[in-house]
Amino acid sequence: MAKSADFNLQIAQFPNLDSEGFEKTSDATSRYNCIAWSNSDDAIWWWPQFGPVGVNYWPSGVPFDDTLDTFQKMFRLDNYEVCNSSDFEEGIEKIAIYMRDAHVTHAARQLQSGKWTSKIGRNIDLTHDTLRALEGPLYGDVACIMERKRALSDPIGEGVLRPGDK
Amino acid sequence: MSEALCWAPSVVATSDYASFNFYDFPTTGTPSIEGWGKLFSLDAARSEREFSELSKEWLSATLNMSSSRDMFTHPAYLRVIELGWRAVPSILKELQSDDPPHWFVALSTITKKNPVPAEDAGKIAKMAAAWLRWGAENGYSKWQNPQTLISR
Repeated sequence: MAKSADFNLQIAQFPNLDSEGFEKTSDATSRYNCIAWSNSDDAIWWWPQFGPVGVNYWPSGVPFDDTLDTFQKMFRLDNYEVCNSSDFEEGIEKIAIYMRDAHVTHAARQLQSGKWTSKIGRNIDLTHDTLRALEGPLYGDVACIMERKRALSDPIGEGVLRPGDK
Repeated sequence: MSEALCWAPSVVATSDYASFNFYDFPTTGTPSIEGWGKLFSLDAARSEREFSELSKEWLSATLNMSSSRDMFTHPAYLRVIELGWRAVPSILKELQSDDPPHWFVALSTITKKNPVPAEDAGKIAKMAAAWLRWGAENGYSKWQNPQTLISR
């Protein structure tokens, strides 16, 4: 089984990762982040504008802050709505939003297998068995689950296939 | 301290300069070009060392972060911004990497410029290429052809 220390996933940041289980699914890259990957995008870094200029991609019309309300607005653009359960449901695609100190820190996307896929900052992306796997001092806790009907064009739920994907 | 040294705002009498002969500067009149050249070389080397340490610290600490708030308010990132223009050559050098780090907020804050087209926001390789072109156009070192970054 993969170990977090093998991939610079510090125990201090992800204390539950090893016990909850994960599998690396890509090499580290700065090209995209968790929000991009939760939108099945592996080409661009998504985040609300921060600092003097827009250095990140952010959908137009969505405010530039890292509140839960703003990220919910962003995911609603793709037909997600807030729901009550993270349990896997056939034909339904879910994302989970993490927060720490009232600021959004991360998002994960559920796969057809029921497991979750996450891009860890500039680091690897990985499949994790539970949402608790990434809860901890860095990402905080899961604050919200959103769902939409799974697109017919994406029945497996693996998202965008990247060049060289296994 | 001689009058000449008082003119150099970045000079600090630390052990970094232990080998520097301050008596290269005359106590009166115009300081020698050679003297200033030695002083600036020392300062550039010191800035590069300091940036290198801060960069390693920041890259390590923020590797697993997506949040711009977390990444760009990290103390090491803020310290790089405080280095100001002295950090720009080292930052541009790092942007030549195959996986350019996110130094764009620092560069914009320091230079008060933004050479990145709006449609390229979030496209890391293109943003790095835009800044490297800016660096080449503004008299920084010889750079790798920025066009090579776009194909990545």
